Amino acid sequence: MAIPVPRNLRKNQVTVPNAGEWIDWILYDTQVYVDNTTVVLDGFFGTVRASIVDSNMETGGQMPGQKMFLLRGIGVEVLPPLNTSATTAPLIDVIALIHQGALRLNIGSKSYAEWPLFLLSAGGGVFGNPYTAGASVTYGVNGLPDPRACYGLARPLLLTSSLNFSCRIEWAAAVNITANCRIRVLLKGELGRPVQ
Amino acid sequence: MGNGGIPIPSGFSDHSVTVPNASEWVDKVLWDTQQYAAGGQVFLDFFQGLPASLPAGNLTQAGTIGNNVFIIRGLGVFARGSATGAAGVGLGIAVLAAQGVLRLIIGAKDYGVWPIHLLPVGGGVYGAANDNTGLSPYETTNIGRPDPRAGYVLTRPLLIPPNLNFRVRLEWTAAIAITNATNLVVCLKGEMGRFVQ
Repeated sequence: MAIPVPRNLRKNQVTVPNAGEWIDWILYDTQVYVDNTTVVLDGFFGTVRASIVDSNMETGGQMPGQKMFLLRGIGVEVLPPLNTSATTAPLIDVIALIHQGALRLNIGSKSYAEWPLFLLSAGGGVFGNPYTAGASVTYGVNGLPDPRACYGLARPLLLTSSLNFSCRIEWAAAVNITANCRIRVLLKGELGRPVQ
Repeated sequence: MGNGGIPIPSGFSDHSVTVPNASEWVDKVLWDTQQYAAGGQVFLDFFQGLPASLPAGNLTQAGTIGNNVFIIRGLGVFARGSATGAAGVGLGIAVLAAQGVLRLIIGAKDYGVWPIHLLPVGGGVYGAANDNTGLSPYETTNIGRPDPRAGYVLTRPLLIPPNLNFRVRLEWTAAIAITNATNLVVCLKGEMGRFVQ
């Protein structure tokens, strides 16, 4: 005997033949900020990265095939370099980069919005009081590490397939930080795609 | 139906970005940065000039939104610290927020006056330090929690029509000296109406 599925759950079924589906999705892309050098990080989401850790874009600069994306929120994170023992970016570096930068979202041929980075809370990150015996330890994250503390667009934006989009982060001048770090941009929303 | 037959829920179609010959409303934050001198200021005017860079501000015409329309739904004040970010905000912002007010002027009259204390921008850095090397424990001090939900929201949004002058002024009764010059940012949050691409 099959388990009865409540009526209000049926719309969430994942294997309806010949139909499309909309699911929770976050697009993300990462670039390296070079200490005391970088002024602009352009082309977020414009490239398919080698590692899924860096990005989950399947096609550079646009949604592939029949896929669409409804952009509902956006966030920016400062992360330590990959493959090191550093678990978090130092507080003073996060402050310097987040306080001084701004992000521009381009869709098609024009800018759709821009924000200072300090408004783009990522909605995640570590929480708590750090301690290492005999050493100084600090960490910082952009906004409260709480999924509810994510910047939501007053008006969501529907990115249809083959429509180019990208993000660009600018600083007025190169920022002097402790060491190179990674900047990750998060686009939060819903993915529309053909069902499996 | 959407691309290749994927049905677009009816509510989503309202958010299409490429409707020819139409206008559109998009999320918009207008911001401007001015430096509060260490020796003190009596007032700072915002949105009266073109910013030197995008991080400093995003107004493209001094004092107006140009041919577009802007609805202000919320506003806030944020302390960036020194121009390079090397020096943290410290407690200077606590002093300035406790003793200053923000005045919003649209056209020729006031549309609101608020103590700066009441205007969290709803963003910023959260962090912690167990540190013995000289970093200030107040490094993340700012106005309000770094949470978009904590931003000040207007009970009645204000719609600014095209080409109408507006400005924001931060005022103090006297110049208050603080430890380091601090860049202050005023954010006006809302939506902008413009012609679509």
